[in-house]
Amino acid sequence: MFDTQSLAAMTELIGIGVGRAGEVLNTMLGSHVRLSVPSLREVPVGELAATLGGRSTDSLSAVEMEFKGDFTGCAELVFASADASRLVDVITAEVPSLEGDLDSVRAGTLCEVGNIVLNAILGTIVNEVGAELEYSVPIYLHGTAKDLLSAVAVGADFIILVSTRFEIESIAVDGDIAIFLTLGAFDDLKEALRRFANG
Amino acid sequence: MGETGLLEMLPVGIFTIDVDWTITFWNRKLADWTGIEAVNALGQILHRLLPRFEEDSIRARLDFLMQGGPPVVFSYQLHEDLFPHRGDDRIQRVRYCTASSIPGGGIIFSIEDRTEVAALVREAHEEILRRRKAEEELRAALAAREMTIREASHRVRNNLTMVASLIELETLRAETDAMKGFLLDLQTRVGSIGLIHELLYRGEPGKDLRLDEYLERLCSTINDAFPLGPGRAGFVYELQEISYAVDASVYLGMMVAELLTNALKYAQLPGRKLAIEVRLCAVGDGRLELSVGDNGPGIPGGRIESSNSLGWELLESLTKTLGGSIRIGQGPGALVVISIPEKAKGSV
Repeated sequence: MFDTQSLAAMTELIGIGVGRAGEVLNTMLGSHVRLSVPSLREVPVGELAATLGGRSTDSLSAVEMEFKGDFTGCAELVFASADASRLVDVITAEVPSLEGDLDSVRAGTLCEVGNIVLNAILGTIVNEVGAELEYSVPIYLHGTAKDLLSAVAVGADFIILVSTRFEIESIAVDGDIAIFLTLGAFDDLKEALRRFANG
Repeated sequence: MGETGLLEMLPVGIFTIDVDWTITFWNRKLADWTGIEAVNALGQILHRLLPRFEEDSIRARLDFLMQGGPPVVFSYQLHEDLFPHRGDDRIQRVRYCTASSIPGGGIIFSIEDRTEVAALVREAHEEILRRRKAEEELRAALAAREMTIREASHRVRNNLTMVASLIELETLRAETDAMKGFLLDLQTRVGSIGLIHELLYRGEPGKDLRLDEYLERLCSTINDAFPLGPGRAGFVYELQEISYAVDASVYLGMMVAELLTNALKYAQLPGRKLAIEVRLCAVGDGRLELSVGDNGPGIPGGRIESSNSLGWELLESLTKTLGGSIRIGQGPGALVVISIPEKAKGSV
């Protein structure tokens, strides 16, 4: 479990990262994008499916990026597929798509959005706590919460779940950032966050 | 074969830059796609050769990557013209670019061509749009047809109401009881058909009629219109929810109207409230039974054949048309049971 100090530090760093992601999206899209983080919490691995999907059969779209080094794990930005589709439509100013699922071109667009958000968050954490990581190329995933969980190759003991809200033009889309960590990685991150908090 | 030799053979566009943003590798596939030969790309500063890379949003992300940050992707929809197309390439190419940092410094860019996949997706998308449009047109045509049917039913109902009113006027002028009775029967028959059209007008065109609802409305309408003596008849309904073909329902309606008129005319005993029971139910073997009974004196002679009135002839004729049978049941008063196929004949 996070202690109060490391939780506050993590919340602060994710807030900074999300702010940076919002700036990049604003500049790139030339329209006002507001990114906010309503909550951050730890979720037991067994409860993730219910937390993400609502129902276990819900179709989800995610961007996943693995990392290894001082902490080994994986980060996913997850949306309900219909929300992901709406987000891509409004970002690209396309006519609303016909189906909830994303085709390969639109999945590429979601991949870039996820890449910007995950890079900003992971980059901020890594820079501020002075860690070193290597990253995989981000990939697009589609399936149920169970499918997404099984795609996490590194294995996970802890999940940090960050609720995010994208507000673009007249729509608001909610997504979740899930950071999967092994027990060792989680302890290392906590220690690094404590050091960061103590200056 | 060295590493760069392998990169030359890949079916994706590859180029690299060093920490000074100078292009250090440019493979054949990329030269083929962009029309920029390696000799003209190598040694060039990235954003001078490809000006889009100077944009703040792109440069900021690559700056971070240059410092060892996570890989960066540039999607087609958000960066359509990141790379030029060769002069004779008239097809808009769909490309997806991934940039990763190189250990020791620099960035490697990998560009995938997804044009064929995108074209397939676009074709599928257009096909779906075409089908949806056709579906919408069909729906509109169906709605127009339904509107026409409703309108027709509405007009028929109004015309039949007018005919029934004219008959009623004639009833007032009729000089004999026999003539009055004849006209009243006629008015009831016309009214029973008019009621069907009213239900059709209010219901869903093309669908079967709810026979139970129709029969209850019909009985109530006839009872209200009939000039019965003191106190009207009391009705007991046992009607199973059954949908039936409209044409066949018209005939059943006329039969019930006939039986009801008979009961209202002849079953009323002095000092006793007339009670009429109407039942409709499925009895198995693909049959339905419709019965009308009362607490009157019963049918004279207890046999249908004993009557040669127009009413009985009508009942027999309509029952035959529906592929059914008619019999006198065991009751305190008159009880007529009509047995018909559960599924009405296609054309009656």
